Amino acid sequence: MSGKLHGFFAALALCAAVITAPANAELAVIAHPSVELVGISKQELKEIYLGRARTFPNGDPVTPLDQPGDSAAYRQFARDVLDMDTQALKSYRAKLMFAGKGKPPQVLTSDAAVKKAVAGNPGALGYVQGRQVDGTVKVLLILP
Amino acid sequence: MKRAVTGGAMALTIGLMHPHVHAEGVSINGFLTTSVARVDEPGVRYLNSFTDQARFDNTDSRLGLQFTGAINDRMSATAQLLARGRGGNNTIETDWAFVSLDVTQQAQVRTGKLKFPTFLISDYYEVGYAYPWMRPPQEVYSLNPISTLVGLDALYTPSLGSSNLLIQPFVGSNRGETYASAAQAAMMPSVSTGDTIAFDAPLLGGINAVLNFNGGSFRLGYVHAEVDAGDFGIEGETAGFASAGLTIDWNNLVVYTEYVDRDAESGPMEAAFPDQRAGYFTLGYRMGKFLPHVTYAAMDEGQDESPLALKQTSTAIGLRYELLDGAALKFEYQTIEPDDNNTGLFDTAVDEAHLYGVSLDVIF
Repeated sequence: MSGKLHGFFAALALCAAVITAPANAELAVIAHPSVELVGISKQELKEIYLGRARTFPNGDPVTPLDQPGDSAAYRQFARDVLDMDTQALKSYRAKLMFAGKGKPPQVLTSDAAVKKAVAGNPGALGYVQGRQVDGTVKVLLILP
Repeated sequence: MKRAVTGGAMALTIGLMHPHVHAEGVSINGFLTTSVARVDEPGVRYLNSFTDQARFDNTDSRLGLQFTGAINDRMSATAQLLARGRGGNNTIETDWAFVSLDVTQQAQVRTGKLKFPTFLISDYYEVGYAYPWMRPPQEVYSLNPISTLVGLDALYTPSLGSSNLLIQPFVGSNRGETYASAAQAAMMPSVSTGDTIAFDAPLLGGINAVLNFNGGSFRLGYVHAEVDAGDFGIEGETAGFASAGLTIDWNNLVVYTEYVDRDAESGPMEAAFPDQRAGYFTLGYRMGKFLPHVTYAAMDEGQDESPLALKQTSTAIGLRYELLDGAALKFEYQTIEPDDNNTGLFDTAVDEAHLYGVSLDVIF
């Protein structure tokens, strides 16, 4: 699937979300408005969040941001995007970090903190609850 | 260890002195394992550590601290200090101390004191929190008595669509120690069972290839070691370790399996490091915070038969419980059966013995 199509579907999903009034559990994957991408796939997110890719799909450097381990957003992202049990994910990241093969994404304290960091940093990538999204960030994917 | 500690201090100094670090900071992470375990058979010692006395200061208990600092946009320094519970005098060693350079987005070069991946778990062997067992299966993991080198390695990670490959060549040197088995001690009048025998490895080199796919990874590795050891009359002889491993963590199913073939050059090298083959299979299932697992492991003689080869099988059942975020409690019960007329990984002949214990593994 091309990047353009991802963007199209992301936009479509966002429209649908706005029309139907968003459910609380909906997550939006967000980046800085200047990012030269119209969308991102789950597989591409997985590569970045599991420390296997250090750039966006277009080659630009990426800094992934995470939510606290006890948040609903974190659990949903681990389950729906990373396809991992949260305990398996924690073990996986520990082994990567202590083997000197990558550091885990930086953890910010809330949706608002993630949105603010993404809005202020061209390389940042994050996820927040769909209803938090505004014009300061660019939505790359909506997770129902 | 003095030299190694200096290396660690150097790596730290490099990190701390650089102005960029004040902005980005030095991050400190750590891990700790505290464990108590005993063997149910009097008069024997397993892995040169476990006896029928339940003790905390066994070979499993340890504390590690990792310091990482950015030097600039493309370089960082990492040091890992390790303190072991074993022996009571709590010496601190530098397990890792390296500087890494991002050559491209897919390639990294690291130099300093590095862990080299003889086996699947080698480079995070000390981080108990990262795996299900109390300790990785020793039939395999005891076969290489040396796990670090001073030298360099490269991490090359080309992307292959939905999978991803890691190619890691490494080269360096180090010194190490091995424990004399009962059969080796019987051959050498000046050596008792369990004595440490020092050796020098002027050349250690190899390659590690890992294919990461969704839900697991597969690896192949080869390590070539050139060894000098006066006690065994070894001068410039070689040994090779060929290994394959698979891990799966998918839909609550957890699998770890590995096979290794150690092949020493003939002569004194085979007396010190006899040819061995070993493998294990672990199956686990995640149920929320619980991860019950079973492991079957075996070690046998390798290509060239030798009366010094250690032979045993073991079966372990274990339970890992996620106590709190970043803290796991583990229970394990292992039945160990050395072959007839063989000590296996015990210091003396025994038909069958059980090793059981509990550990707490945390990361911070």
